[in-house]
Amino acid sequence: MQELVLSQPGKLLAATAAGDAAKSGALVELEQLLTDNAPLAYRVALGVLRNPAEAEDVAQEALLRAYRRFHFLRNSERFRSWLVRISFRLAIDRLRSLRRRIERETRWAEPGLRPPPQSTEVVAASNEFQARLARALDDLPDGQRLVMSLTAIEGNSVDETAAILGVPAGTVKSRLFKARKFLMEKLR
Amino acid sequence: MNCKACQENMFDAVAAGATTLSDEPSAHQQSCPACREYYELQVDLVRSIDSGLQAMVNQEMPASLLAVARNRLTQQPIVQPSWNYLGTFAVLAAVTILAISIGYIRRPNVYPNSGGSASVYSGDKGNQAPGLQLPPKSVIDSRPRTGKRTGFLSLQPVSSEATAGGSHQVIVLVEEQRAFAKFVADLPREPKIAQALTRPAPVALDAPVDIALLRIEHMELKPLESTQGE
Repeated sequence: MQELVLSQPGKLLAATAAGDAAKSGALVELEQLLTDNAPLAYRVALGVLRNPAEAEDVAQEALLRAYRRFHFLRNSERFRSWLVRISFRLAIDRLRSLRRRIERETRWAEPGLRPPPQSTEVVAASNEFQARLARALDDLPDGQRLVMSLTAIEGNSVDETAAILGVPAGTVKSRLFKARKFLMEKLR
Repeated sequence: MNCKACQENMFDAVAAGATTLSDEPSAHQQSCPACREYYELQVDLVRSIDSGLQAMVNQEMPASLLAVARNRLTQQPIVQPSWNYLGTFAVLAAVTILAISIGYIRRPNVYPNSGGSASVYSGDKGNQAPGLQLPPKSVIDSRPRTGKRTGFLSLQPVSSEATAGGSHQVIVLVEEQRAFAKFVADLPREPKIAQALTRPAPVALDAPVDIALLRIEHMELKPLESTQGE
């Protein structure tokens, strides 16, 4: 896995020279946490945005925010859950911003400049289903959407998802049930 | 169990992620081809949803993500926690509150210029006009209190000796005393108003003033001229 060296080497050396081992140890721990959980942050963002470039940008922002605000986190064992929430929240914000921008541009764009609509023949069946699924996911409440994404990421179980989110397993099951029902009704 | 109830049951079971049906729906769908087909459709749909979602999210993280994050972080230095900020903020807040409180207490007293106020009393019970009730031992300001401290209000109780000796007592604010003295000094030039006074303006500011019960037939309210203390 790729190494993430976020702190400046000089800073680390100075901290060590000053005997501030605890401080530099915390920085190293934080960097390790960020490196380990960066893929998760990216996939959570991707589950919301479905655009790799946007998801990468959001994941970067989530990592930076987590690094800057790490001192607000009282329990470092909750880091994974915390980062997931940061990434999800940023992705939702980005999605809404993108939608507003698209609506604005669509409203003002010349009809002749708009791309021609794709015919059903062009769209493959699987792609069509993916598009319908994506639209249905967008209509899910945030809590259910996050649970659906997390269970899909690397096949997380209900218990693992509950541990990531820091909520009881029953809550995850309930959200999953409601989300699946909603999607099934939308996609049937 | 009819088909509708069975299909609702199957729908909920599939949505809940159950791999098997309970006894009754299971028996029904084995004997009902339509319900069996419905069940298989729902199972396929959930599989498609799960696989579609997995395909959507389980993509490899771009290699550039961490490198770019590192670059961005070196440009934006980390903000270390500092409890000193909280302490500084608390001290500043306390000083601000204290300053506001002192300013509030020491602010100039602004009373409404109401005609119904009477802050001057005579301690001579013998000459007390009928219907004028005076406090027996101490003189109080009869103006309505607002509950606010004024900081410079010179309200003092009349000493028992002064009251017993029958001398007149004037209890009045310094500013009002000056304004009243000026008002009285100007009265000789206003003969119509001067009819209400028992005698002309006192020479000294501290001199007692007799106030008789006035019969006011016409009143014109004017703001007092500002004095030095105002």
